[in-house]
Amino acid sequence: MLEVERFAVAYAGGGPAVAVERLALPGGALVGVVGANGAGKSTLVNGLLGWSRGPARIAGTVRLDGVDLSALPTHERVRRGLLLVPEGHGVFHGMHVEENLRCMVAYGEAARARAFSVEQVFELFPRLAERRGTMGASLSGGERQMLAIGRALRMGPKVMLLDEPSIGLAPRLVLTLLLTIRRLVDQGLTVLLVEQNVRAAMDVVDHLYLLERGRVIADGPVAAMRDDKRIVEAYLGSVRA
Amino acid sequence: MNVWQQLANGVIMGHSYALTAIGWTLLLGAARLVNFGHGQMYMLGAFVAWFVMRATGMPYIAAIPVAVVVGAALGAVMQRAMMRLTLQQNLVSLMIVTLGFGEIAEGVAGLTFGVKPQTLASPLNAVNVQWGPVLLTEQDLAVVAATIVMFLLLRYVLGRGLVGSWVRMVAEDPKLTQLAGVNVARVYLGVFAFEGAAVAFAATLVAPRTPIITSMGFDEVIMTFVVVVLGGVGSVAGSYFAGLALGVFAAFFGALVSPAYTAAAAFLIMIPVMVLRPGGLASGGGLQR
Repeated sequence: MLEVERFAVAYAGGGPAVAVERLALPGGALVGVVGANGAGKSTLVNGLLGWSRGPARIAGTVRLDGVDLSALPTHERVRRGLLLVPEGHGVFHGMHVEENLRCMVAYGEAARARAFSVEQVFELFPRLAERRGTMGASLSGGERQMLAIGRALRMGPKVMLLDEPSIGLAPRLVLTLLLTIRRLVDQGLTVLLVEQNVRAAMDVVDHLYLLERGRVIADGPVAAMRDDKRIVEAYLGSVRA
Repeated sequence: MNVWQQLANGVIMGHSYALTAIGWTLLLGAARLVNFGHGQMYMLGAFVAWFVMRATGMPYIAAIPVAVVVGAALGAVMQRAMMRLTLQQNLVSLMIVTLGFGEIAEGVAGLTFGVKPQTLASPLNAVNVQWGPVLLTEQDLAVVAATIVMFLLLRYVLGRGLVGSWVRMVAEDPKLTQLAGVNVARVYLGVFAFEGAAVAFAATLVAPRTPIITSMGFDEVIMTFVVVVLGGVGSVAGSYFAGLALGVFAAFFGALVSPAYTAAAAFLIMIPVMVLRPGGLASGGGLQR
């Protein structure tokens, strides 16, 4: 499981963009983090890996199965089983699909046992098998998301952080992708799912965190959150009225 | 004019350009780094070999690996110094730092090795090989052979296996590479060490053909700028063929016009090529990938 405590990320010259008192991912759970654009969802998941595209200051504790990762560089956290599929560009454009998968290797005995083989990734996403020789740059948005998730699975993650996997996808594809993620969780993977598509996320997650301006303003089991006033007003709207 | 002799001169010169450029080709491809200290690293490679031969009486063949190891260490030191800038891909600062690094290397070399011209004596230089109308030395043949071996080796390493994919991943997106569990700083370290080792190796083979002097740096490798850029940034095969073409061009231009203006002529060709095909000759067209 992943435990996050007194966690804050600040960009140069600003106050904390994200400040989260406590966030927990029980093993084998699918936890959603939802919130509006700019609520700090990406900043939060990137920060959990000590990763950011720009300079950022990150403070707080991130424990994976009881081991404190906060002092480790990004690649060491990844090797210990905390994988991030970043928003947007999660694949290498200059490599074809199979190469994108082959260049990912699991570190350690346990991770190797959990890791997907290239063929297993192709079974999970048959579309990728058809495109195995296609360059990353030529893939569609949906294919890229599948490939990015497949890449993470190749390393045998304990916990996978998915940053808006549904962004830019057709509605039908969103559902297929989220159901695939749900299936991976049912097989034992622990996933933190960042989503802007709150309604779709609520169909698959177990537990939901609502983020606003970098703070957790509500959280709970998804059944309870369905009736939370803030969720209903801001995200579900008239459908439930 | 002995056309065959000029052609042979051109092929040899071309290989020496390509060999001198190979480390930089990788550095530019993987780290996006324009290394203005490349020439001084070349100079140091030649002088380290010269120095150990003179100081210890070591034979030429044994001095080569010494220069290569020192070159690799130098590359590694450069990486340590510039790691933060490289990770941030702060390209302008990197350029200036490499320029400064070169100037410092030149100063230190002048103080250590003196400022007089010297000769890096290779026994291969004294052995002539006559093929019909063409007269060569064994040193020339060694340059050609070493270049071909180095390029094939680099192509092989980059083309398959994990090490090659790390380099290509870092070249495309170092941040995303971290998310694959790769220690990006260590990949850069390897690339810098290769640059240092490769240019030192090139120097030990190419420099015996002319006198060496600690101030030769930048001018000595001016053609490698043209090679790496014409070949296409980071393209291994591209820079081999660009080197070859440039060598043949330089030989004939030197024979027909004047060797004094060869570099000017090379840049005169390079600039329109850059404008029309920004990715270099190896690219598919006007678009840079």
